[in-house]
Amino acid sequence: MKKSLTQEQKSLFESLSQNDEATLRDLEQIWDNSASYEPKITFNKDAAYGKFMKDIQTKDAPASTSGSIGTVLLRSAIAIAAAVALFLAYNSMFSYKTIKTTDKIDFATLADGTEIWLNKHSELRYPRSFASDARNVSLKGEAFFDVSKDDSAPFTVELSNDNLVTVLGTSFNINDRFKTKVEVSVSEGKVNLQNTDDDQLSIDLTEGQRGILKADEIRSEDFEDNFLAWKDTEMSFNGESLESILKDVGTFYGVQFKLDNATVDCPLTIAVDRDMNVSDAIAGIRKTFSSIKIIKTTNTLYYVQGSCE
Amino acid sequence: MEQKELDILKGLNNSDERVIRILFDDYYEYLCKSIYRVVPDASVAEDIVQEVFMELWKKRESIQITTSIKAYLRRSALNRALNYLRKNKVRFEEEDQIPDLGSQDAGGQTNMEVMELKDRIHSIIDDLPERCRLIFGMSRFEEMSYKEIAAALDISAKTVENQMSKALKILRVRLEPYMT
Repeated sequence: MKKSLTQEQKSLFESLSQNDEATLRDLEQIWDNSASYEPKITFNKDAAYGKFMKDIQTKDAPASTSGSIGTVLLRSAIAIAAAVALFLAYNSMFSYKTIKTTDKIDFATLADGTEIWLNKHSELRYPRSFASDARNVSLKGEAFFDVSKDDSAPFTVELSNDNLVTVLGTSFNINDRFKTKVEVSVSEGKVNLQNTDDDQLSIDLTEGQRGILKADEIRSEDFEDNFLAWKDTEMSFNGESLESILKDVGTFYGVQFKLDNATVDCPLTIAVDRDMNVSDAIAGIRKTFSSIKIIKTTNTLYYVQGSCE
Repeated sequence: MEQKELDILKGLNNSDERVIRILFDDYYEYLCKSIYRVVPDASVAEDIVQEVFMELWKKRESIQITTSIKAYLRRSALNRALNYLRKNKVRFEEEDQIPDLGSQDAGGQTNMEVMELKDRIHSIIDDLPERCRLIFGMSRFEEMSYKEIAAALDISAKTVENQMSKALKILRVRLEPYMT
């Protein structure tokens, strides 16, 4: 048993493992690997620094000792006005709202009229009101944005790993679920995708284009797939290949299908809607292809084997 | 203490504002994340870190730090976070039973298959029920005793123990397919 554990942690491990050595080893491995856990959230140190500097400059302002009473009063009045203005600015600047989804998608309308659909297991943080020259929100996970046009205030979405999406007014989907990349699919208008740490990693995207940003590479591709499947309330497929259908169905339900080569091209006609669960959808597919097996391996991963026939 | 920290301390003593930039660059996000593990509200975490830095700046001329600036700030931030929890009697959803381990997604929709064990674990921690995640974090990262956690959250030590056990059970069950 590890020395670094507290007595309580040790007894917890013992009671959970019931003296089974394999279980104990698993628990220790989990415990060790959790050491580097950090919440998946980003904080803006620059904005915080700016606020701090303003705060100390207001507070540290030396009380005036010279000048007539009139100028002293005027100075105090200006100082108070400035403090009030600052306070109001901070109040609005730091009044954020966060929506977090688990197994249902959610919808938000922002102060500027921008509409956002937030996919399952995602988190969106936005200010209750926007500054006049900038609109900043941050996203974890996946969301579709329909941004209100405002040429004087660019709309930016902060993502993980210093990635940033900037637009003026347009609609697009951001998928930042992957550990190593982010995908932005544009359905209307023009969008810039960039990494703020590396000015080489920046790309402008237009309608029908998808930008893919990885740690050290950025590229765009044209796409036709149903990338908004998760947002729609129902989907229907008419004779499309099983592979492309299962990709959309997987996105819709938040699961993944792995196909073997024999099943990839099987044509299928099926409709699914949000009221169905993933098992219903799978049952529908099985009905069409009795020779296909869909095996659940984990809660979110299914293997598909067999042939079309 | 490292030379850099000594320099920071000296700068503080001399009211050198350039030090503030270094403090924010080096410790702001670290402190916010540490607090967020205990108080899962980003704006509260940010407010607390502002307070911590403000306190440090107020005491800049007389401050003596013997351990390290990082440890000092972290301790100060954690104390404030725990105070916040106590004062605000933060309540979390009761989710004491584990009836439905199977139906939860392991790590949201992240592609668990290609992830390393460590990332999977992190992802599952993210997905733990909120109260369970906080208690696990307090024990795992802040090394608080059941009694301390119970006092901070105004719950019983038994509940803390149950939640710890729940956190580890969830982790083990969801990781089972990937453990060797």
